[in-house]
Amino acid sequence: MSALLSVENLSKTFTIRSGLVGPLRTLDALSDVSLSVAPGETLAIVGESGCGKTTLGRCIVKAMPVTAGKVTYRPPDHAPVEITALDNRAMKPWRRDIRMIFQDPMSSLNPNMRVFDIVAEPLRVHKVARGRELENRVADVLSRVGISPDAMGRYPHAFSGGQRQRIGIARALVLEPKLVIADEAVSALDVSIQAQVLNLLEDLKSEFGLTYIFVSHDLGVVNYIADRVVVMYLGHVVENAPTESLFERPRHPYTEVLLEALPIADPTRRNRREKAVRGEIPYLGNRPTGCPFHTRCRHAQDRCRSEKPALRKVGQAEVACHFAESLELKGAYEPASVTPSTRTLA
Amino acid sequence: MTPQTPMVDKPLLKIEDVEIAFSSPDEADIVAVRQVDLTLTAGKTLCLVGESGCGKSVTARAVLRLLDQNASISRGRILFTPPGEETVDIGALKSDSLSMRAIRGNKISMIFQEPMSSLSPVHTIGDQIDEMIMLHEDLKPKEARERTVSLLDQVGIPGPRERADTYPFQLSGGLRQRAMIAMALACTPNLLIADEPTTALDVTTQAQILDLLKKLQDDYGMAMLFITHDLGVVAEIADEVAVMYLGDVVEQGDVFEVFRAPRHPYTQALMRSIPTMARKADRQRLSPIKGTVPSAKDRPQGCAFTSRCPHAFEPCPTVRPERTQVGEGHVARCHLLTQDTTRAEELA
Repeated sequence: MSALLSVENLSKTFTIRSGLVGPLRTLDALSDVSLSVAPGETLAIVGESGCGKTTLGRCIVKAMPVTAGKVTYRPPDHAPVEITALDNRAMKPWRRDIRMIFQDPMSSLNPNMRVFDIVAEPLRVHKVARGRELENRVADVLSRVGISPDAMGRYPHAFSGGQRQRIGIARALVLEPKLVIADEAVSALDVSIQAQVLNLLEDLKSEFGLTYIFVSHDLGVVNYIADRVVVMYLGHVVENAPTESLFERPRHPYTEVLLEALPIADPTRRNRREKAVRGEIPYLGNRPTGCPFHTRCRHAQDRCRSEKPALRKVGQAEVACHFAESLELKGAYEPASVTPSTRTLA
Repeated sequence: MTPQTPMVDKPLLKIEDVEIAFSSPDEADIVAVRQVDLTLTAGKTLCLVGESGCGKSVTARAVLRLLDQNASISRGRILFTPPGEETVDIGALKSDSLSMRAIRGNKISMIFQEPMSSLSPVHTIGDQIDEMIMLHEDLKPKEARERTVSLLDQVGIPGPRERADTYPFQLSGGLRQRAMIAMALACTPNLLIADEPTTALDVTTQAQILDLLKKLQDDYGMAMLFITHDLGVVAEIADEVAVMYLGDVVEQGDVFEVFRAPRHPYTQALMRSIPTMARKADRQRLSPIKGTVPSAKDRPQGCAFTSRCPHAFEPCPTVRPERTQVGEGHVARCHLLTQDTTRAEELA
């Protein structure tokens, strides 16, 4: 099966000036990132702040130009399109297919526009519908996400955080896209509302045949929703594996650290961390040589300090670690003999 | 550092029937916290968990009398019994009185969610901690600085003597939170209140801070009131957990007991709405709580959870449920547990 979207050797460098008159410096937010997402798949991109997960999402939707590399989109009924080579005018038709949902439903909806206009704007911009048909399509998509069409004359402030996130989802879906990039789409929501939105995203996926790129820092949510997970650290992909294999047996030491640090809502599983988490994420402008993770890695050896590991196939995963074959790393699931289903909640 | 011997007879902190109302010139009073009962034993960690707006931070601030000007503790008592001392009703003290100031920062101290906005940006962290020590203890500046350096060392800040001369903006989020913790520990408090101390941090940094708090608690023998919205963090750190919803504590008990067998419908629903760390085959679809949290103005007379509860029946909207003992040290407020024995099985 050919990928719906593939990213090849993508790099993104920001130029920053320190202070008002300081020298210009460069920051490599993404270094040589490659990944692909199959039609119908939910691909999660995880990592801590500064790992480049948001920048990657924005480069894919062409919200910012890339420094090197290419992004290729393969529409079902059209020849492959190299998004990174298009100018804005040529990109416009493909923006109907690739849509984005943002983290903060407060700042991503224009407070001066009625909900109807917010959701109708993509239809108007792409001249897809007008008049009565436009109204019907907006009302239809709003009711699919659980917002009553009677409320579409109101402004965003009249809605709760969860409802505002639904409006953001309706705006992304109104053009019937193929690929939706959700950037921390549930992170700002309370748990009970988060569950509503996660279920909604799953339902809409099967209803509209969507493909998701789900950017998140929350591994609990990722385990629930994703088919495959890409782990990023300081602008590099360090591991790319099917969800279950990644959580069962991580192949990269950073993935193991992330899984160990994840608080699991079950007190009988506390104190899973046998060893303390080491160090802090280095500043991006001060990235270590060799493997970017070696300063915090328990298994680091001389080779890691000098030679940068390339992404290569190990088992079901692609891993960027010199010692991926020999390391015995711990996953996040309970051992298979004690199945989690024995733990029932009331 | 000698751990204080826990008092057997009296809990360190007992919050009884506390109501906190916010007044506003052009609106009716808003009762943010309607009825809170909490008990905290010396040396233990009590996690206060709930969604935004449930009143967990307001409750914590009330214990230190750090509420805004327009807020008042309109009912109830906050009884604080430091080991070997008389019980004080913090709720009856004036927030700027000498006796309150002798408690605040000294016997009870607090760490906040965002260290950047709770530390002074124009003073070095060393100066801020020195000030705190000299305010409560009769020490010379040099002696205070020695204590500061050893505190910074204990919370795991590398190069503590040099770091004492840095400003908060020069430190990373994790180091800032460590400096904040050092300040809170400066006078070896009996009680540390931590209001979402790891929410703004990355997951690996969060793990480090949680480990640090556990270790310091063992070293100092202090109790912790830990405010969080994250049930994962509760499971990691709590001895006891209290669940709040819209200004009420609906359930309190031992953390293992509450996670194993939650008895209040809200606690049960909350636990079903978080994804479990399970393999695909064992994964269940999330069952979210229907609707949204109503405003405190629309809270029913009776149980606050009525409008979203799948089990709600006649008495729920009008009559407040009693505190019901459902296990050893495990209490919940729900009519199903008292009124209707046939339906109580729904919650078992």
